[in-house]
Amino acid sequence: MLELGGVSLITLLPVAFFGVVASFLGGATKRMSWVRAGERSLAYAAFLVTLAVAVLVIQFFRNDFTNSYVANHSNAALPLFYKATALWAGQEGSLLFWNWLLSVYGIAVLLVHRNRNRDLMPYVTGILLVSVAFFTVLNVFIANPFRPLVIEQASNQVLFTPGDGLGLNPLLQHPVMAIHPPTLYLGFVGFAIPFAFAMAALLARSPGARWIRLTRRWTLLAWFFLTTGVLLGARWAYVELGWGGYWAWDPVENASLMPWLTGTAYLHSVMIQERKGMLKVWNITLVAATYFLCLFGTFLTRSGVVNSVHAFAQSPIGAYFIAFIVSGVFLTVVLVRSRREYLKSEATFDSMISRESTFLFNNLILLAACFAVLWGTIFPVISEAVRGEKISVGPPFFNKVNVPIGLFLLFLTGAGPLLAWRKTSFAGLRRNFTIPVAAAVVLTAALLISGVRNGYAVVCFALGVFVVAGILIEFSRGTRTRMRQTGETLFRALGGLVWRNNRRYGGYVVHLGVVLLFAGIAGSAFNKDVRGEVGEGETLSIGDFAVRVESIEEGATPNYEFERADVSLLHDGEVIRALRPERRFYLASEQPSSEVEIYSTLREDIYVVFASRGPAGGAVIQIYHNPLVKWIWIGAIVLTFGTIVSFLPGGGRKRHP
Amino acid sequence: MTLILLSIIPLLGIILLIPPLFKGGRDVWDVPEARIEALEEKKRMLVHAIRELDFDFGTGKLDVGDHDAQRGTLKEELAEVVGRLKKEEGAGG
Amino acid sequence: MSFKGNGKFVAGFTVIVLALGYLAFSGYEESKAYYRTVAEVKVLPDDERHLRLKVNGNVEEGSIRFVGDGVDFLLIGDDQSLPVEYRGSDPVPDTFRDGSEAIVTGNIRDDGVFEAKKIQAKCASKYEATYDSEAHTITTVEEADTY
Repeated sequence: MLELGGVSLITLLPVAFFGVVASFLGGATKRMSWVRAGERSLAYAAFLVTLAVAVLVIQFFRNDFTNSYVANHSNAALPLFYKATALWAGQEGSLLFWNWLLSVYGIAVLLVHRNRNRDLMPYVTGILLVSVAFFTVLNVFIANPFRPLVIEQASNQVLFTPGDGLGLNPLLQHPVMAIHPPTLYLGFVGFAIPFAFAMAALLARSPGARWIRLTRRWTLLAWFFLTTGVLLGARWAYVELGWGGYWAWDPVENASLMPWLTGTAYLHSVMIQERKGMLKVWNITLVAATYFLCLFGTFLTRSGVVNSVHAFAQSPIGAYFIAFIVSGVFLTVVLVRSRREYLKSEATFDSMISRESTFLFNNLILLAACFAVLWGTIFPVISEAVRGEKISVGPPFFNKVNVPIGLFLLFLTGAGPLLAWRKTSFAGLRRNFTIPVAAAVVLTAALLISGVRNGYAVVCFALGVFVVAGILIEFSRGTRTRMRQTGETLFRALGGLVWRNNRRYGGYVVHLGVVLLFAGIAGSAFNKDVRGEVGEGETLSIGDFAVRVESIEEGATPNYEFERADVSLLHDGEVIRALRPERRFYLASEQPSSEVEIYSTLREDIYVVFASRGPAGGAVIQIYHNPLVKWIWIGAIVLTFGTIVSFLPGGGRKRHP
Repeated sequence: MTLILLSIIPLLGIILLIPPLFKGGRDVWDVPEARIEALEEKKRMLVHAIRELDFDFGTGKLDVGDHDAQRGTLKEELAEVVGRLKKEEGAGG
Repeated sequence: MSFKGNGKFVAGFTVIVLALGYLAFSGYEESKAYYRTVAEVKVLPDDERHLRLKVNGNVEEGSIRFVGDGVDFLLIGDDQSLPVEYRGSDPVPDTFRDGSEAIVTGNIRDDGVFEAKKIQAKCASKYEATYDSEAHTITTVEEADTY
């Protein structure tokens, strides 16, 4: 089995390199024979990676501990489901997994676009294969997932097959963690496609926004997965890590946020190019930055360069990533410069008060956020290189910069759709802004009167209402016009409106999701927590809530031993829910893990952790009172739904609402 | 035995990838001419812009003044692009 | 981008960038922490005693004592040990236990005790650990086989 996996990886190496050469030659000489050879290389590469992945998964299922990767990341008692997810639990497997997703995406792109856009496709194939080749090099030379397990015995290297594996990190034994990494990777890898098309357009000297139109769906797909991946990561941290929060500005979290920020900027700025023929260099820069940040993110998660609790790995892989990213950036810059004449702008900005200027501010501010996050993340490395002193920055740095940025973005989210392209007259401003602004003012007054004194939170809620009011007006105007024109009923008209203009209205739904998400985050301004040792029958209270420990139990499963507190959650003295926070000790990996219990309502979450056994034999219980957290997850679902709406084919060709 | 089975993998690669190189000589495809493609792009852009402008006017988001002024400019630009496109295509044969 | 002759954009961007720069700097001042080894903390010069520090080491076996809602332990590094008191608001991480690698963030007190506001911990038998480098793991596995 090991040999089969190894041979597929080693064969993959020449196949990928051959494909790169064949594709670029095909593109440059315009000879179909080379082009076809390039396409077949990509297809065969996809087959080989699939074979390697299949071998590894089968080895996990069969508890084949001759493979050191399997022995290190699985054990016989591990549930089957987690044996499959152990595929990406370590560096070797996740690089292989990356490569697999990339080649599968590549096949999909070939199938969709192969027969049209003949001028671009060879280059697209070639560029995707460059990344395949890079990941294959890593898999073959540094992080091979098919190494036999070898130990040293009396200074001899001996093959060794243990009776059982070391097991999977218990933090990863959670359903959300099973889908979070693949989702995130689908996002990371997905940005390879718009990047490849952008570079192909430059290489083939294709002017205009054709590459943007061709990749609109692919970009949206990648953005969808990246967004979902980031949010699932937050969700996992919240329910699994047991510290009551969902975002710690940890390097690994930042790694996924940075490409999201530039990717989101890109989604908005392409609209300016499609609409006005401007910002051509800018869009190429953004899509390239996004892809390189995706690679950088993979590097951060997999190299452990910045100390982080959950960047598991530490290996020489960093040098390879840096070399690949730096040469990629260099080649992109050279290419863009050599194609300057195709990238001239066709228009200029007319006015500050226009749709395009809000997009421009949106871009600037997203980039500023990305830069701040990048700076803060790699600051220990920078400061050590520059001043010889390793200094880290903490959450206050990230929050101070990003909270105002977030609020400004929220304002732009509301204002942008209300402004016309080019310029908006005063009458136009009054027509569109009166109701949303009034709504925001009323809410602000109401919040202040009811005693809410946190400035940022008030501004956030007020802007949220401003955005929602604007969106509702857009929907109601469009629906009414359609009802008038077609005589349809309310719901048919609404459905038809969204279906006909799905890109626009899907976008509004995404904005709605963002508002809910922001509201949920703003709730954190009012978080409270308490901790204490509680014996059986005693209570610990926080605000109107209290937790009463009924009993403390112990037990075991084949996978782990546990201690469990059976507690009652009380609200105003009444029992409302029985909760069972647990502490587990996983046997194979010898690691403890807390299982928290969360009582979640639209108003607030009560998050209960069994922290430890106290000196007096009771349970040390920590309770977090987190208002509005549920709205983050609701916002995430709305956002996902909106993305799907704007992804659908729709019927955007009709003239009328 | 294992060795023979394993060697199938690289051999299959050679069989799949090398022969296409000797098939079919110069199979040059049509490349859209850059200047014409650029004009087509611009035309598409302007048509789209006018459509969206009318849409926003239809729903009452834009008032008459803003709408008419912008539509005029866009129409003029469109007419010019269409004219140049006709000339290019005529010249190109 | 083309803002030629459009001073308003440039002015707007400048204001935003300056404001963010100021916030970034104040956030940095508030949260910066200096990496120090246990040995360095033991002989910390006076002008560095007020700094927020990040110290890396291993938790000494058997030194963990839960006190009320906090924890006291000894952090080992460079063959020296540093007494640490943790009274932070978050529960001690799951991975924090005898022998685990820990990073504590906080300040050194005049009595030489490190007052930690935050603990990050990694298990000694790390996820990436391999059998060949982890002698003790092999013994456990072999014991399990013989018994």
